[in-house]
Amino acid sequence: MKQQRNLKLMAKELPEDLVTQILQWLPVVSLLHFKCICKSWYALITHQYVIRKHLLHNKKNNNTHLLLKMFNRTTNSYVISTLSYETLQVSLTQRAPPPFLGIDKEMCVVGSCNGLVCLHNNSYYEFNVVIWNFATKETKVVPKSNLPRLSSGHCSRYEVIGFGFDAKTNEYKISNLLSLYDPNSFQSELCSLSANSWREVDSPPCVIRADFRGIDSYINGMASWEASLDDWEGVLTFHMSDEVFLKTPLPDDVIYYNWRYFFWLNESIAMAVSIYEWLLLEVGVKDSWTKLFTIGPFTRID
Amino acid sequence: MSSTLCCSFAKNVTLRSSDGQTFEVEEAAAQVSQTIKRMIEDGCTGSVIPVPNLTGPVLALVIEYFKKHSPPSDGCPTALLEMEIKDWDAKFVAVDNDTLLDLTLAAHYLEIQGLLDLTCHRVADILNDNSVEKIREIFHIKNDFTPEEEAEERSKIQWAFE
Repeated sequence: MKQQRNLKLMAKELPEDLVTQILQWLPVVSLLHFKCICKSWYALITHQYVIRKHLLHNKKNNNTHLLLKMFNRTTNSYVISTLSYETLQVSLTQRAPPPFLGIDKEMCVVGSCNGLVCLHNNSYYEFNVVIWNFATKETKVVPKSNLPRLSSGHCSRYEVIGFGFDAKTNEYKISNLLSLYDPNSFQSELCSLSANSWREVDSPPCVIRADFRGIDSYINGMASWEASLDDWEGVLTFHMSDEVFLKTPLPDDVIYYNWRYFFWLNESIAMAVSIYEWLLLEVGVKDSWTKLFTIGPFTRID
Repeated sequence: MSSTLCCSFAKNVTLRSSDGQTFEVEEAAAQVSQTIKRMIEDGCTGSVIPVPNLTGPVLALVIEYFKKHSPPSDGCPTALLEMEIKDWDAKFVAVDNDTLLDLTLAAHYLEIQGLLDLTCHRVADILNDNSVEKIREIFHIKNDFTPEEEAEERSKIQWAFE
């Protein structure tokens, strides 16, 4: 907790705590402006406690946002927009961080939580991950992973990044899971932003098939991928707090379909297969897959 | 102060402002304030409850808010009533900045969460509608940055001013 002082507005002394409550109702971009009002406002707006209160308030009062990545051919750069989940109206559009941070044309959005977006450059030769504060445009370059880039003796490699918030330790964490094939070998590492370095974690033998779409990998502090091994098929999840991988098999009815689309729906893992949408109620429990609804029937689409 | 009693069992309390004005208000209505609620529970009802941080005119406004927001005698508020209260709230805080800050401080001191959200949101809207220069002028805030410091801070977030 911070020490209480007063801020003067007109002839009135407003306790800092009260001004903090006023600031909660302002968008981040306005707060950035208001840092320039005077030194006491600057100190308040940049204080950890105030930033945290602002975040909590806005999580409670705002609806979820979608992130949309677009490539602008004129400026030859990416822009990312947030859209309201309900109205699909764009609320803010920002140019992606400059390419010298290592995030260029191959940029992909790993996920986002608490307004921080994890960007990854999907390149064979280089490992570039940047954490980007979408509202303030501040960036933090994540250290290079220790996992091998070029893998002699293997026919192919596949690397997936996960991003999430560990609510137990109040840390942001990035996971890196590397799969090398023919012969198979699996390695994974974890980096917490506060430690700013990578360390090895146990990784399960799994063939990662695709990244998940959507955002809010934070909510349950988990990162997930579609995975398989021999005749097992399912979802591989990394739990950011417990630092363990969990495997959830797919429901029996869907394994005959090749086309499956995974995404986050509210706080759960969802999967679209054929005309059905499924929701995974509990990670690691096969029986908790629940058929949510059936899409269609479709009329002719022009 | 005159007050219309809707039921004969309503108990009243007397509140006294910093400048000595007294107001009689239904106990249930006054308990919209957590601070007053605690004082009543501690047995302050027999005498006059002092509200030393509020002047008479501000306390009179807060009592208007109490009356509008006191729990309805028949239990649950209807959707129509809620809409009407929302309209009333919007008009209630459409006041000059001086009064608005007084009400904000009153809501903070008396722990009236509804009024606190309402006034803080309104102050934030006023801030949001104005430039940094204009805010300093409206709220009489002295800029204690040197021109160099301010220019440097602005250059860091140039994009936000575009």
